[in-house]
Amino acid sequence: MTTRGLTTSAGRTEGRAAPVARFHWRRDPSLPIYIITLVVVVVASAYSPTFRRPYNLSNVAVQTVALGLASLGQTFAVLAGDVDLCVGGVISLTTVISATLMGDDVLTILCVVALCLVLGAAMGAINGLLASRLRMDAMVITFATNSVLMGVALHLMPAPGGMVPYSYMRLVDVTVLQIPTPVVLLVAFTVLSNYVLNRTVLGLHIRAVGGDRAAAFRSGINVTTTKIWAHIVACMFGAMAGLFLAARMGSGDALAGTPFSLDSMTAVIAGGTNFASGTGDVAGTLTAAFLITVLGNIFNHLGVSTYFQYVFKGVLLVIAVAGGAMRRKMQVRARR
Amino acid sequence: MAGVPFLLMKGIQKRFPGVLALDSVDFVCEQGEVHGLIGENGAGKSTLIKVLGGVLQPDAGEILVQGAPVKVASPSRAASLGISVIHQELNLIDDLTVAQNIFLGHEPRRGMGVLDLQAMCASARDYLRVVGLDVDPQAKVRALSLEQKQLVEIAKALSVDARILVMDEPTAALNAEEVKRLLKLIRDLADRGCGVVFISHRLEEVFAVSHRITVLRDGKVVATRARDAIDPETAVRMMTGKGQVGARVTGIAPSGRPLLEVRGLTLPGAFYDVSFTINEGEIVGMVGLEGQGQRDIPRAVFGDLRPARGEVYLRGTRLHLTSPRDAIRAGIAFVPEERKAEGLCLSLDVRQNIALATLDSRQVAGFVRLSSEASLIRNLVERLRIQLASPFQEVRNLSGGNQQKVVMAKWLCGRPAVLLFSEPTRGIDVGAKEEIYRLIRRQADEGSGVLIVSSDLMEVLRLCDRILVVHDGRIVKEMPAEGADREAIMTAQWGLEAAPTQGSSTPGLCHGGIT
Repeated sequence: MTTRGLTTSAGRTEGRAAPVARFHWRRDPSLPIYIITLVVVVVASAYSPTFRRPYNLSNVAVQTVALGLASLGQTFAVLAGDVDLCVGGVISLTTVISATLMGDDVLTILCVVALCLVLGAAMGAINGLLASRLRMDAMVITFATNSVLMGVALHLMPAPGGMVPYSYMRLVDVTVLQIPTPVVLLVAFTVLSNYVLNRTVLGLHIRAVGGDRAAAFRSGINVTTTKIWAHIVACMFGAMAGLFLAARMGSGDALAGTPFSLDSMTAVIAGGTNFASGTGDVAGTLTAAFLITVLGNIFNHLGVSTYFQYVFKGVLLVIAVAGGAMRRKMQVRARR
Repeated sequence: MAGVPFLLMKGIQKRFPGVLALDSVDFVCEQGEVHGLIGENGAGKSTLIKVLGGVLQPDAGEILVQGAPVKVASPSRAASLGISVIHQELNLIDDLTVAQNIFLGHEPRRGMGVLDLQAMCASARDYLRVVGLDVDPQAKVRALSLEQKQLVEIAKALSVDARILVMDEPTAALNAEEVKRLLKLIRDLADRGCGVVFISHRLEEVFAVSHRITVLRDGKVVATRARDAIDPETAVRMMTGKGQVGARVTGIAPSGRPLLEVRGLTLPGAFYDVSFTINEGEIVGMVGLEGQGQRDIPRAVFGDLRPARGEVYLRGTRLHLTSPRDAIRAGIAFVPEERKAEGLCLSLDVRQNIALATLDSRQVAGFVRLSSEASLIRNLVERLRIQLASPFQEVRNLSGGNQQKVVMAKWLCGRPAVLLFSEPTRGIDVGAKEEIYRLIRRQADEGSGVLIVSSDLMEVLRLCDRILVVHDGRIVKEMPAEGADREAIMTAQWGLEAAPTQGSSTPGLCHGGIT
């Protein structure tokens, strides 16, 4: 009722010609994260010779890959109005499967990679289906499926171990023009995700469903299918992150994925994607994932305990969510 | 096409529990015509367009498009038949662009699920030109005014090739200038061969734009006439009919001592400069057509909405209401129309529901004294004659009438000085209605002041002492309920009253002009 009054009063003052609301960099919700990241990198480079060494920078970039991939996928889920906390479980299970099943020939490696991707897709489909059909909060559903996957992974491999073949591990170290391949792939996937979200029917439908589920439904959009696709993308990116981690660690770990569920959500929200409005982009997500990794790197240099980093990430998520809420409040006020 | 109407609804019947919402309704809409649809609240207008739009299925009757019988099983089926319904609450997504909204669900593609952005922008521009809206197709809908959003919605309907466009109250929230432009657009669309079904609570608009007018009353078509063959006064008479008003529910005459005074209450977009007084022991009824702002007035008095201006006095002391909590403390109670959504916690039991609003007065250091609560609730259940198996019964298992009594009990145990009701008997069977009337009257006899907002004219005429008529967010008429003339109320409701009565502000703007 209040909103009706609000729009009416706005309608009474404005004429028929609309203010042109084209894209403007100052309105970009990802702007804060770009600035913060730039400042952090510049300051750290200025004060720490270790930080600015090319080897360290390349190392940080490679460290970003796992979180970056998981967060790209998470962006799809959040834009569709959901969140997929199952990515952590998918990552854990993928490292365990890789370290258990991969043999030292190309064919088995390819088969295991395909298996992991299919598994991720299947989990995504289940999550999306349950979330939209049971009309339950995706957060609760995926929290539950995450626990299931974590349990399966722990059953298969109670303690970190197993081995991935040396040839598979080497893939991570291959470089293209001196840039590590995983980083190149991460950037390529970011560009691809950006294209899907802004130039395809699926992307538009995901944003529409996230923006207003009921209006999207009444416009003839299949909400269930759209949500299922969003979760499939989220979990497949999770599987890719797991495959990368397995190569990097050289072994499997049923707890390797644990931090990723929350961290990917933090990156998405801090990157400027808004819960329940269908706005936001993967560039912001990737930057936020990079920032989280850089800060971890800096903390390591400073000798800050890993446990404290959990505290920091929690605080970052709260700030990001509060920032998003404030931005929306300001938008509403500006309309008045 | 000669002889066969484009759209023909024949003998449409729809029954809801307790009411026959549509009783063998015949309705025709040709291409190129604007067909006005008018009737009182609950006459069946919205049920009819829900049947047409595929939201509801009729119990009997058939729908023919170009002479061929069709089954409108869903909104998307309606769209594929060329029937597009624009509801009052718009179907747009704020954070998408104008072009994206127009083509949502039927996007131009280049194959492989890739959007054809050029085509989308270009044809969005074409549709925007048709509706006369000069905005960038890339602009976000959020940045548009309500009028502009409405035009985007029309463009969206045109983009699915709508040949029958149904508009439910499209002018409700627009100002005079905007209404004029919209009516012109509707005429233009009809000239281009589109059939438009136009529903409005503003009679002058219906007369200004329609070629034909159909009047509904109690689910039946009273008449379908060419615009020139009917005038507004006749239309009002047709809508009202000559139904019998039942016996009045009377009690002790009000004392005449002012209890609640409301002065100059204004909430832009909802209501303006609302002033009225409720005396001790008096029941005041507030009536108006749907969406005239009357529902927001008790909400504002209750502190649930924050008015921009105006004062509320209780027994001469000014109240500063910032939340319902303040109002409850001051002795004001509000029974909202959406019983299930706002008045009750369905999964809690009767006892808990009743106790909820007045927990504060019965707690000691955060603990509830159950013994005092039990006797209080036993009293109320007996007094209101709520039929229960036990006070521990879940509220969801009670009938509508008993649920409403539980809501009343919840407020009565706080002994409120002022009771505000919105639709106190909606969805309640006849027997329980009478009991609720008696309870409300008894509360007034004990000295409370009561305000009832109702769309049921009979209810207000039978129960209230005084009636306030709201049109376009303003109180346009005030009269004693006893011996009140239904036609006079209807005329005021439709904004046809030219001269304002004493003490009330100017009536609604006259739009369009009646030709």
